[in-house]
Amino acid sequence: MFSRLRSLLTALLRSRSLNREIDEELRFHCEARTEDLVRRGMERGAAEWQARIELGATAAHREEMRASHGLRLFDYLRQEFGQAIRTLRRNPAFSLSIVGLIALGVGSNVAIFSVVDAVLFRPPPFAEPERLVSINGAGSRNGWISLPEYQTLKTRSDLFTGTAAYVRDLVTVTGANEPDQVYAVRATGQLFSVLGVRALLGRMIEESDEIQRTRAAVISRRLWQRQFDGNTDVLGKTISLSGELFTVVGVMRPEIEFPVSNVDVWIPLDTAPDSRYFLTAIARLKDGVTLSAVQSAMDVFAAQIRQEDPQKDANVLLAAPPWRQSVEPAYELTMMLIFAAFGCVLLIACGNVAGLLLGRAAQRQREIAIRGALGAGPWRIARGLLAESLMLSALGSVLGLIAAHQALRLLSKLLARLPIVLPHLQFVELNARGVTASVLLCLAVACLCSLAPILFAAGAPARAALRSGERTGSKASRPLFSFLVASQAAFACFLLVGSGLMLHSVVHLQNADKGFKPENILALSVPTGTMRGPRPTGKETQPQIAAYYERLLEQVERINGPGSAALVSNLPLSGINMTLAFPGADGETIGLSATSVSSQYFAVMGVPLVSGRLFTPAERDGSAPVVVVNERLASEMFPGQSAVGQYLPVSQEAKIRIVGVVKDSWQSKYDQPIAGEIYLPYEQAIRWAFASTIVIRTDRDSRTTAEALQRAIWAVDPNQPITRIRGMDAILSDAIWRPRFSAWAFSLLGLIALLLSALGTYAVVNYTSALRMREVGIRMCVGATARDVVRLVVAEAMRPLAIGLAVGGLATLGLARFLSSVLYETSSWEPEAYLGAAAVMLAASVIASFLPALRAASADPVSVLRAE
Amino acid sequence: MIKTSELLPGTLDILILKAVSLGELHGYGVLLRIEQISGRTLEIEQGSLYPALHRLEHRGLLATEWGVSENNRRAKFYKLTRAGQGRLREQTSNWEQLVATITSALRAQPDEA
Repeated sequence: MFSRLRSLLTALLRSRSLNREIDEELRFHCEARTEDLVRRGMERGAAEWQARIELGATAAHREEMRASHGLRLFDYLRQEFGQAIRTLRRNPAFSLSIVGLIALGVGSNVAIFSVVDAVLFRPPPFAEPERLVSINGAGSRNGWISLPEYQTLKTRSDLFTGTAAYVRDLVTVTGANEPDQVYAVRATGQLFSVLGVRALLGRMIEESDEIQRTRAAVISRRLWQRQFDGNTDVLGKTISLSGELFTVVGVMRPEIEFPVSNVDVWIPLDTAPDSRYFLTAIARLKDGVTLSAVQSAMDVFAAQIRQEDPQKDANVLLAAPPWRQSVEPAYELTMMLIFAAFGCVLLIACGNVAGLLLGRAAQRQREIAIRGALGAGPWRIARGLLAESLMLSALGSVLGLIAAHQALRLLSKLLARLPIVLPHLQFVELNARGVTASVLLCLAVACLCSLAPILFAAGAPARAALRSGERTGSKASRPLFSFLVASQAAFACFLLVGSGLMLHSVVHLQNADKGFKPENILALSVPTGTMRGPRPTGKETQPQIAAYYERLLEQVERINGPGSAALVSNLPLSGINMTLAFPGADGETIGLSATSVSSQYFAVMGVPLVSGRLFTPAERDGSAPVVVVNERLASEMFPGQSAVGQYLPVSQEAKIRIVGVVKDSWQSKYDQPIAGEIYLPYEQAIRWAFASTIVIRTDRDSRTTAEALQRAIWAVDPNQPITRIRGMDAILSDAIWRPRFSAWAFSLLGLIALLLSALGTYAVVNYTSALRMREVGIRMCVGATARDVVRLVVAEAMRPLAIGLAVGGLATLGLARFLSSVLYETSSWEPEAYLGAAAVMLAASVIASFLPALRAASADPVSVLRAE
Repeated sequence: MIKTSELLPGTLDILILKAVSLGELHGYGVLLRIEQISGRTLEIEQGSLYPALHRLEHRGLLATEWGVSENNRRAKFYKLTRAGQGRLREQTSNWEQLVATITSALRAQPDEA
């Protein structure tokens, strides 16, 4: 065995010299035999001839001898691939287009697969995620449970092997690179053991942190790189989170997004008995405990809660669904649409490959018939064709994988620049399963297509193919080509209509009346405290905070001019929404959007007053409470009458007087209808200082102004974090990133689809009109003009195209439901989009079929007929 | 003359091993030696000789060496390896056994059946 392997290896390594040795050996044999024959009296020439005849075909012997060394397979491969390379190099345009299309197909397929897998199918990176349940308050509870309730849950070791509770918070990070405002999670010590995750660096929050009240913080990899430049000496460093000092004990793995993707800090929850939190609980099921058993236990527990406090908790329910990371449905839908668009491009590319290969297959039928007639068996012919398509697929696949790798790297760079953190998309990498599946698929398709000529040949007897002068097989393949053109047109039509609608929607969004003027407004985030309440920094009480911001505004106005700066608790489009609860008419509680602003806010933002007045400096802490409302609220609560002078009941005793009505303007999100809103003077009610933002109207170069503003603010408090300085127009375009992104992606893909399907049409028309040269020649001989021929060819190409467009348009209408949910004030059956797409497609196809038609028409009919 | 292709499969291999066991030979020499030791009753088809030689070489039964022939030409010489000697002994005894078995089978009389 060993000697055979060695012999094969030597033979492989010295394949060429083996040939030389064999030749020399056979030559020696011939000479020796000749000598013998001459010695026996034969004449030398005849002896040489005789010796050669006795030996037989040396080439065959050589092949046999090489096969003796185990080289048979190797020789076959070399022969077939050598032949394949020669054939492909004779047709560089064909080969390059196939390789390019396969690269495009495999590349986009692999990239999409990796992204879809990451976003939609990858299980959460926790140990046995299916055993995790979340315990939420329901009924009169908006999802939360209280600390004592959680502590009761924690004792249920009959149901759970571990229980943890957490609450989200928004905190400012100082003490590292740049002041920053990030989402934090305050969690009980068991959280990470319940999830079963380990740290990238250092350790996680542990049970002992909760008990000993350690000020330990785990930071995200993002924050680690942003604030600590990814240095490993981060462990043990101190950071300030909204004024509280914490020691960094660990860095989170990047794939762990808990509970959602934009969290950057995890810190222990303060479980002192007086802490009041709205908690969410997560628990790991004990082996053998079912979800329904947990739910019935929670029903019993909820009944106890209702009994304990029948007044406050009369309608409390508890739900125990399997834990699942919540992803915005609109986001998922956008991703799905973009993937679908990629899929369409992939299919169009596949269609092109199939068209090219089939066209070539039909053209080669004659060659194949000749080879068959010369004695090559079907397997022998198939081997050659397979070798060709394998070469093409392999080259295309390698290029495609490189392209996919680059595309994903570009994608992560693009995503990192987006204003928000996308769930699951932080680290999309080439996926081994995706790579294997795509490459195998591509090889299979290529092999099938390459075998088509043999199937064609089986259909038409070889003799007929040889005898008939024209290149046959065209008739059989024509419906197939029409189908290819039609389906490409359908997919391209979907993409073009989609991008038309999305562009329409984005233009609409950008030109929409937002209720404020985003131009020349600069916004600076100057938060104090956290979402969960003020922290002891000397700015706890309402008057303290109000006085502090008054001083900040004074400083800013000194630089930027009086009346040009204002304070707002939640800037429009910041995504932060504040709700105040008011007693409604029939004892129900109604929540109203509320914003604390300084008196100049409306002037700075350009929100016009409709009736009444704005705030005056007289509205301070202690004076009678007043509000300004938007038109929507005024018309909803006081229909048919003036809202000015009316009162909003805060409780049984207290009322707030409405002093003015302003125009509606966009609120926390662009895609939600404008709701009733109240504006409170911040001197009277600054409730949400953690999101405080100063807005400035400025015409000057915003960069120098920003630096001056920073200095002015730090002159009041050098520790004031300024987490974001951005133009309002930039905030606006960030807020509409999703429609912009999908419009961009759809337009790009639509363009590629248009180009590919035009190329496909060109190739098909080029091929089919070449097949019809004879017919064209006859037509021209009997008097048809070049113009008639062009019209004939182009018209014929338009038929499958029109069918494809109709099918694509109808399919898009069918998908309108999905499209309309990502469109802004744009109907998904906007006729312009459909007509535009059809016009563009038709124009592209006319151009694509015009060139080959012209070539057919300009051929000399006589020589065409003679050639046939 | 009997052609080697009409013999039992594997016969050519034994003949080659036997021929080479009598002394180092080049390919043509093997041909002549087999004709000689078979009393010119066996005719080797030259087309199958060389693949067989290379096959035996590949299996490690023959070793090769380039040398100079009797008329001063460069030629490839084959000689038996240790494994080749073993295989020849084994094949020879197999052959003898086969011949004895077949011979006795062919001499069988009706009453003995």
